[in-house]
Amino acid sequence: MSTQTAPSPARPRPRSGAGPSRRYRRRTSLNAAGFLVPFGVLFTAMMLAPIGYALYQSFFKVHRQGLFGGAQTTQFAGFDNFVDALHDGDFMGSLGRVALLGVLQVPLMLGLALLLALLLDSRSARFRKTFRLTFFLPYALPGAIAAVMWSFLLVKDLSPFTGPLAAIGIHTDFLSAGWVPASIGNMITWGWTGYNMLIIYSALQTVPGEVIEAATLDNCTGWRLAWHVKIPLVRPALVLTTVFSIIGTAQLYTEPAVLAAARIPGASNKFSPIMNTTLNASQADPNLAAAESVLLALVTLVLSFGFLKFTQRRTADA
Amino acid sequence: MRTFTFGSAAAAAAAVSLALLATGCSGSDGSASAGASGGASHAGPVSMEFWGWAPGYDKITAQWNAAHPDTKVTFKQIPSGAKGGYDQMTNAITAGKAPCLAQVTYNDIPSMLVKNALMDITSYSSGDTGRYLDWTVAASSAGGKVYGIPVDTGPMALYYRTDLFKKFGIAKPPATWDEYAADAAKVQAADPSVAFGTAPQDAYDMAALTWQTGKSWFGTQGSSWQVSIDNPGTQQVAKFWQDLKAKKQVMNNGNAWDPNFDKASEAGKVMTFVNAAWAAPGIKGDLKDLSGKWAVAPMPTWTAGDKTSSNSGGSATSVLSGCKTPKEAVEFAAFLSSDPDAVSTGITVGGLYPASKAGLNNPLLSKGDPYFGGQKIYDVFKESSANIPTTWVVGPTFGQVEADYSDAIGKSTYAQATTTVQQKTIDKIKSLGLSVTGG
Repeated sequence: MSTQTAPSPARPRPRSGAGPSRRYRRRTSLNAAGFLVPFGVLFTAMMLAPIGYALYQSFFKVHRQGLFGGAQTTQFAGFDNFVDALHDGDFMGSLGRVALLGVLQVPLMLGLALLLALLLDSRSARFRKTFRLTFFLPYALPGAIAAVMWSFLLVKDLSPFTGPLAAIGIHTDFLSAGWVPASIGNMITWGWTGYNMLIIYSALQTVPGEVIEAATLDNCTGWRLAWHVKIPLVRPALVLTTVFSIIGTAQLYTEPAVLAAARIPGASNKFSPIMNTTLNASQADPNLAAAESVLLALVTLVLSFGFLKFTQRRTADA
Repeated sequence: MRTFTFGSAAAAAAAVSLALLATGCSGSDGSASAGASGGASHAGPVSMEFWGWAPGYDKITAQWNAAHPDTKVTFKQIPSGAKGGYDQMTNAITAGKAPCLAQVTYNDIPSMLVKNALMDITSYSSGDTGRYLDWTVAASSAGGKVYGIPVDTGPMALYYRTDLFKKFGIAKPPATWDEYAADAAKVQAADPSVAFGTAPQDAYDMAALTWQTGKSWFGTQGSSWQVSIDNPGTQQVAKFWQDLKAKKQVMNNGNAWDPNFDKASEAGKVMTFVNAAWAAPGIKGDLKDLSGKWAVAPMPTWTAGDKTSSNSGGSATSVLSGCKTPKEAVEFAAFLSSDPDAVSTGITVGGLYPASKAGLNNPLLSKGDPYFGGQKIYDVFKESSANIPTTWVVGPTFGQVEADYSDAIGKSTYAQATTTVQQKTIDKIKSLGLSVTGG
């Protein structure tokens, strides 16, 4: 994961003794700057500039009058767009919807990923490579394709699940309005469990053999070994996957958008926050869309950093 | 030192990818700007871009280019307006790289005006407007100014399966909605797995069905919008279809061009659908095996003996803001709408039913179609076209109405959805800063 390695630049700075000459130091810092340029340019062009532009747009509003807008002027609007965003029932509803989805789906998915990783890591595991690849495979499928595939698997008349369920007296339509959130949760879980499992599994691989050996000697094996030794040691990986999942859920788009585009009656075109901002942007209110995007980014930032801080403090307490 | 070589390799890779990105961008910029910048010199040859999605526009553009070597038009196929086409146009306008010409449906002309995207072309086209059906001219205009040249209309009709009608002993297509409901019940009694028709899916369907009742979703009073989506006509439509949907006599899922519909058709599980003239090439292409089994009848009416029909969709060609050669652009638009060969191409390739009065006499419209068992289907559409109420007014936020209707129909009854959309539309128009008086 490049994101993991990026923020830890090695900084050799010997304080005492004969340090490197000033010239040498200047050259290294120039070198470092040179290497940072491509990143800096890309980061500015692809991240900072769009964010800055969205932030800028969110403080303006187009003033119109009459039937078709008349002479339209763009004026500074302070926090008006943010107030409007907070009163936009569809947008706020979608925030609540993905929050609920996240609270239910993320622990389920990560629990499953952890379980699979532990099973792969256990001493009695066979066909490790095959299973690892199989679990990871859904992630290799582009999200939109996976969503289309699942929409066929879940649509009432074609689904291989509804028939057997109906035979035992359960009549469901997985794509009815009530079921759609669960079906979307299922699609995300299917697509991302393997990915998260791989991160946790890699962390498990780095658990030192002597720790396991010591635990085994103390008669700590099987599930007890997993619970008391392995899981605490892969905590950073669990924190990382949780943060990724929080961000991913907040940015949910592909799955509900595919269902909505297929005109499935139960699938809303306003399911997720990003879908709402997209709609507002194309419905003559890009400024409101910008404010909503900024809000969504803030919520995501607070949640993911909040979670990080929370776990760090708990680690410090422990 | 090893890490340094690694780092420089990564830096090189990043630089290469950056360069690729840059060329990627300039590549698309180059092609997009060709149209806009080409018009700078009026005296010399003019070149313009035309963005649209209707089938046949590419061929009509080629016909124009063959006849007008000094005014070159490049057609670019874009996703339909509702699927992002309009966003592409407004983004291009903001970037100063918009095409001169674009397809805009009648439904969206007011909302494109609200986005400041359309150019007033009254001075170039005013002598010409008499050539098109009056209501299409009205639908392409606002506040007495012309914003588009009408291309086609969507007169509605009932498409039905002659073989299945025979199988279920239904002698003739339903002439009224009462007969439609009675036939639907009859079919269900004989075979519950067969749906008589398809339930309305979205705002396009609801609008077309309401249009027939003579009521309108919008009106204007002075410089203020009046929103009347929740009107007795819409509610009459809502009640009728809710009833059929509840009894499972119509398909709840799938419109005429949907894979669900195609699958059901091939299996003989759906017998009719109500839609516009432009749906004909769609079923001919999708359901080739059913050739000779489909026919077209007038849209069922609310009162027996009445011929009132309706319209769904239809487009104009608009000139986008920032175009430097509007005169030539309007000439092209007029060619697209009224040149006899262009109209013929539109009919054969796109099923575009002409908005031009002369176009209605195009010889292709009086030919039998082997797919429809040799029926002269355009006789039906011609009569439909002559019986479209002229009361319909398009509002300034069709994209929002569309999104909210699709959303609400999935969650609630048609009647509740209608009430929800009424309120949301008022809120939306207000939030855009336009004046609006409630229902």
